[in-house]
Amino acid sequence: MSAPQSYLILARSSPYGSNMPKAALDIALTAAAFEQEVAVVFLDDGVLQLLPNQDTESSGLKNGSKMISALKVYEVQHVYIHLPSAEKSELDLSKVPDEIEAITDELLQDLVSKSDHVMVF
Amino acid sequence: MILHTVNKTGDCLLRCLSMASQDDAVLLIEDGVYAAIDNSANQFTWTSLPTGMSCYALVDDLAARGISDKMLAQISPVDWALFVSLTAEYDKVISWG
Amino acid sequence: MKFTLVINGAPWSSPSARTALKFAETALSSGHEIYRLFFYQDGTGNASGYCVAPQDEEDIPARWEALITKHDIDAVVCAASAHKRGILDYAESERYERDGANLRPGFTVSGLGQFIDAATQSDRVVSFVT
Repeated sequence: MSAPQSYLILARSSPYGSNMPKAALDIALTAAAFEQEVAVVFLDDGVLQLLPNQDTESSGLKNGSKMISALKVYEVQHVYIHLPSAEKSELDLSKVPDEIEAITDELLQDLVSKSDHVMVF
Repeated sequence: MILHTVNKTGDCLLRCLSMASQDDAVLLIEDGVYAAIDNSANQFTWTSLPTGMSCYALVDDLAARGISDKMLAQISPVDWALFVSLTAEYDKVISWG
Repeated sequence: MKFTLVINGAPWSSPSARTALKFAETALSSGHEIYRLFFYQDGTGNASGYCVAPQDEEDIPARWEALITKHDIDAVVCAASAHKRGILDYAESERYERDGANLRPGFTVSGLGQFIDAATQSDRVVSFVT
């Protein structure tokens, strides 16, 4: 295969309201499985995917937060939470898994600029 | 140099514009063309644009929505051939929806 | 230019499938090449042979089939997305014991890896989102 390309997955959607979060993660995981460089950023409503204590048992939904925690295990190199979005949602960053790094507007713009593929979900 | 396509107004467009830089271009398509209407809200939105950025709107979508003659001066109408050309001219395409 | 297009929207449910179709047609008539069409999520509905278009509306799935057949385009439908939406080829309809296969001629069902492969082989990837 040719040299790895970089993928930036922008996860902007809240969980459970649409197929977007799962679609985003499936692409991230597939790209990682194919040895591409993958970064996932949770921003705007996407930060709600990182709210703790998601209990989907009675609703029959597939718990998205479990897969998010496993992203790095599946070779997704970077998982970020967009700081301004987290602040706007008043998300308690201390409850976000340690492996998720905070990213500023400037750094995010840089990633947008430099990544081979930027996909918005 | 990125071509951003935007198919909705509101948060989607604002997030796109916050990530765009002056060498980029924005192409409004589908319901995104409503952001091309010359009104005070849209005028305000586009003032935050990095200077020098090119803005386009797809002709068919403008016409369908009855706004071909109501456009902001800084937004240029493009046809399908030009849409394709733009995707080739810019280094990559980011689709905001 | 070699394009890969990702189609995420179902025919008629949003404008995006038609936007993708017009883009594809224009790219080809402008002399570009389409390396692959990748139908993902609701976009897999564009490959259904069971859709009946109203007489006064464009038959989007039929137009895709015509384009794919005429230009011999590699049109891949994401298996996981297709299964949930009831788009099955013959082998899958047998495997999952469904009454009929409805994948249109010219389309193949495969995995998301086909998108990653296409992205590495193409000059441009353009996604048509809902």
